[in-house]
Amino acid sequence: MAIYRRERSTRLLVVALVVTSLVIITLDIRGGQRGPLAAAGTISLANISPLQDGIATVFRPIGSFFSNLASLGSLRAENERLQAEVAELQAVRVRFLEYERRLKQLTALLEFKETQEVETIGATVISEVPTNFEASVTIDRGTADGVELDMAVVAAEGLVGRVVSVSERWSKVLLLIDVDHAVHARLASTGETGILRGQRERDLRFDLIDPGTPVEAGEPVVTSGQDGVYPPGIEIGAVSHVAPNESGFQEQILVRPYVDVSRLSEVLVVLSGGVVEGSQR
Amino acid sequence: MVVTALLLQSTVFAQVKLAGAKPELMFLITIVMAMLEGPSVGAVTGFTAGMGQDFLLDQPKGLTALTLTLVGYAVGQVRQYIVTPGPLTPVLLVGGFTAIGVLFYGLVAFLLGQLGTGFLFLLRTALLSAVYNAVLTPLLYPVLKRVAEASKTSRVHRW
Repeated sequence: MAIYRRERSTRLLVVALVVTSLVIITLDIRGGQRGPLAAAGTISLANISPLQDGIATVFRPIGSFFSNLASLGSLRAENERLQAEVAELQAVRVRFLEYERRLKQLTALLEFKETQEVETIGATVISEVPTNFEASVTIDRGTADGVELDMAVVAAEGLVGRVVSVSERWSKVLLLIDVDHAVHARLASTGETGILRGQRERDLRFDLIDPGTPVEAGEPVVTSGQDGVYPPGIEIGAVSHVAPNESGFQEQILVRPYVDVSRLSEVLVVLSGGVVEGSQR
Repeated sequence: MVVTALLLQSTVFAQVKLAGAKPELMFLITIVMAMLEGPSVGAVTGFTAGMGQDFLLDQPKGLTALTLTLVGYAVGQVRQYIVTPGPLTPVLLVGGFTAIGVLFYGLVAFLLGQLGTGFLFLLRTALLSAVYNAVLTPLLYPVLKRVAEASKTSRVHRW
């Protein structure tokens, strides 16, 4: 009897939790980005971001160290003593390489910033959104620094994405490879425009307004500025693949972004409009 | 525990990926707690961990909570049928239920129009996350077991 009662109360508990989840899902979807739950999410993000920042600062060299070790498959065959010794030296080396990489990135970013007419502010990527269904990062700039929703974010190599959530000191940036990200772009050579969409791990898909336009691999693609979000002239990437699709009418055009989003650390947020003068690849 | 895991997941583990996939630490915590404590604790842990992930990381609200509540309850129910648990039981349960949970999450997200990826990507992500979680289980299982035992001790009232 007691077991039956316990099972019944467990079932009731699960039903209550499931119903609560469903209510929250419904409220969130109906409220959208301006709803009360979205606001609660932004506040939570603002609270957790300082902690992420602290942990990221401490663990970034360690994380890079493990990533590096994972790619050194050939060293596995060596004996344990040698591996420990290599790992110790590797830790020191990785730290220096990390500093060197950041220095190079910052120098390129500074050179890029100096050539621009647009007003920008530097930001550091403090974390990636840790789910497999969204490609976005958190940066350490927010409304207190002048950052607003839908502002463009660039790196020295080119376009990174746009701000989709902002709190006082932190912002979330949707990366250009995310499937929900789209940007109005043009071919730098001919000026033909189209919509460039993210495809996660694959190159970006470029749907030209005029599908008959001849396109060659290697052609640079830049923002057109016609979507009202991105200033014109930001370099995005180069055409990597051109092929007719199944119907044989419209060509499938893929664009490989210049920015390696898996290695982002320093970026610029574009605070004001204007024409971007070309990046420092 | 949930906040610590979320911070680790978004910083340290975000950099250490397995073939492009990240681990799902909230799934791991929920499954292990459900194994150790049963369906009620599993469901509550799942709900808390899911809400934590949804709100603290500004994700679609309630989706992870729904998934993890059901995963926690299901694992708690399944453990009753495991007569002789072996050393690999936690690894297999974590791996299996992570894959099922991620697929369930993807399916619900798809039905709600919140999933922008294709089915193959979802399948690949579910498998890789499951493998990653299974690999992490031998490291984190003893820690979570100690946490569960400590919380049990603190609940005992001595006279």
